[in-house]
Formats: sequence, structure tokens, C-alpha cells
Amino acid sequence: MIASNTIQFPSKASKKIEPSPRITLSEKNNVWQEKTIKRLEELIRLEIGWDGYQGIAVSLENVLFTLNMLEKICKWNTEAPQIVPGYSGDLQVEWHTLNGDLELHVEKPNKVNAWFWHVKDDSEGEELQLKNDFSKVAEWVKAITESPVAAESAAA
Amino acid sequence: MPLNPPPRDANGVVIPHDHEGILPNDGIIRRASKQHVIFDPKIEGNRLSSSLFEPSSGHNGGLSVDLQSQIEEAGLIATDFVTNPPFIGSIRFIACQLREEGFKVGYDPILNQPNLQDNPYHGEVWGNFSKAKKKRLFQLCSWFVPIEKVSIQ
Repeated sequence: MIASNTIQFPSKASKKIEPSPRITLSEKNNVWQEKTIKRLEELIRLEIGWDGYQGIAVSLENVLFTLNMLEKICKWNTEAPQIVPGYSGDLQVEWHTLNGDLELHVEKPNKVNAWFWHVKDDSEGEELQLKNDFSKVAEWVKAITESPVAAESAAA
Repeated sequence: MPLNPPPRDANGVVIPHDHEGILPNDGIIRRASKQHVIFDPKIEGNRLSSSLFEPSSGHNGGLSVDLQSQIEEAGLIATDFVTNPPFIGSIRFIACQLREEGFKVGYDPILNQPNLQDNPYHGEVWGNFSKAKKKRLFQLCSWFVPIEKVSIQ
């Protein structure tokens, strides 16, 4: 099923958000998508200094890159990640489950720092610098979002 | 005692430095917004995201902090100064903890910048903010202004 999702982007970074053009994305009706888009809409509207210092809103280019990346690494029924803004228009996509933690820091398009830690891992986790090949991250998303019961069955 | 001006490059940007006027036991405060709060089922509650320790990606970019001694020497109450919506909480280090982890702790006052409130007590922490270091920072810090029902880690 194809659904239309629309993100309204501010026309400029300012404290007061004016009516602005809407960008329409035609994408599959994925479970994670609605919540993710709603969160990203919040993050592109953050006021300058939102963090108490000089933080700016998440950039449009990082939002679009992130949505494209999620299309590649998530299945239709993957639970929505949590998304935290960065200081410089960057953002961090995070999954925290009973299986472990996965954090994808999108510094800018094609520059992603990925970190994965599984509860059965005694180390401090695995960290990768990624550009455009997210196949390893797709494996991590699957590992972290599948139910603990399914994960144990798969491992057995 | 007021801090000496920080070193700057040709563009006026503060150069990463360890300021001699920031003493080993001085409090170094990092504000936390509600945007930094995430839910983690492993602790069955909310905690702070590692994104709290993401430095600026700009030239000479560091992690923004507030210098507690400077705030208090100006006659202000530090907990009040660093807390007003939407900056709902804050965590605190002491300078020597950060330096022992290899970070530089410097001074970078924010004055007369468009769209920003002046903060003459603003500092920066520079260094390698790897995931392992961020985990370590969470172990070292404590709440300065706690956020209700949120754990540090």
C-alpha cells in the first residue's frame, strides 16, 4: 500500500515559524514512518538556543537523508526509533530495547557514526563510520528490534 | 576572579585550550533539555541520551558548558542561571575529572551574538567524544538540577 506523507518545513530558521511550503513524500506505509515524521517535524522547528547554548534546528538535508536511510535499514514493521537533535543541525537515531542499544549519529548526509551494543556483548560495543552502505546497520536493526524470544530462538 | 580572555584564531574563534583560571575543583555544568531524554526499557524508565555529549561540528567546536565558579562569583545562583525553560535540568562535573580523561576545559564567553542571550560564563570542553568516552562521562557526572523521573544513565 502506498501512502502519502507530508512534512511541513519552515522556510527559514527563525524563532517565529511562518507558513511555509510542504514537502510531500510518497512512501510505503511503514509502521515506523508516521511517528518518525512527526518527530522530525518537531526537530526542524527547534528554536536557536534550544539546548541552552547555541544549538540550531535539525537541518532539512539531514532529515531527508535520515528518512532515506531508515527506508534502507528498517522493515515495514520495525518499531519507530527515538530521535534526538544535535547541536549543529545533526541528529541521532536511537533504538533502545531489551536486546541492546543502537545509535546512529547523522552528522551530515553520508557521514554517519553507528554504534551497536548487544546485552550479551561484554565489550563496549561496535562502532562504525558509514557513508552509504548501511547493510551492517540493517542487521543491527533486526537484531535489536526483534523480540528477545525470537532472538534466542534464532541464536539456538 | 574574572578569567583572562581566551586565545582566538584570526577569525575570532576561540582556540581549544585549557584555561589556567578554571581551577581543578571548579564545577563544570552541562544543561540538559527535554530533547535529550529518551526511554530505555532496560531501566524501565527515561534516561539521558549520549547525544548530550555531542560537541559542535564547527571549526574548533567543543561541548558547551557553564562555569559554575564564574556564575557564583558574579553573585548569581548557578542552579537558577542554568535552569529556565526549556533547559529543564543539568549535570555537573568538576574540571579535574574532565582533564584526567584527556579533555581540555576552556573559556568561551558568548557576548553580543545575534539571536543568542549573552552568557559571559560560557565554557567549552574539547577532546575526543567517542562512545566509550561518552559512557565514561555519564559515570563521572552527577545531577546539578535533576530532571524528575530521568536517570543519568
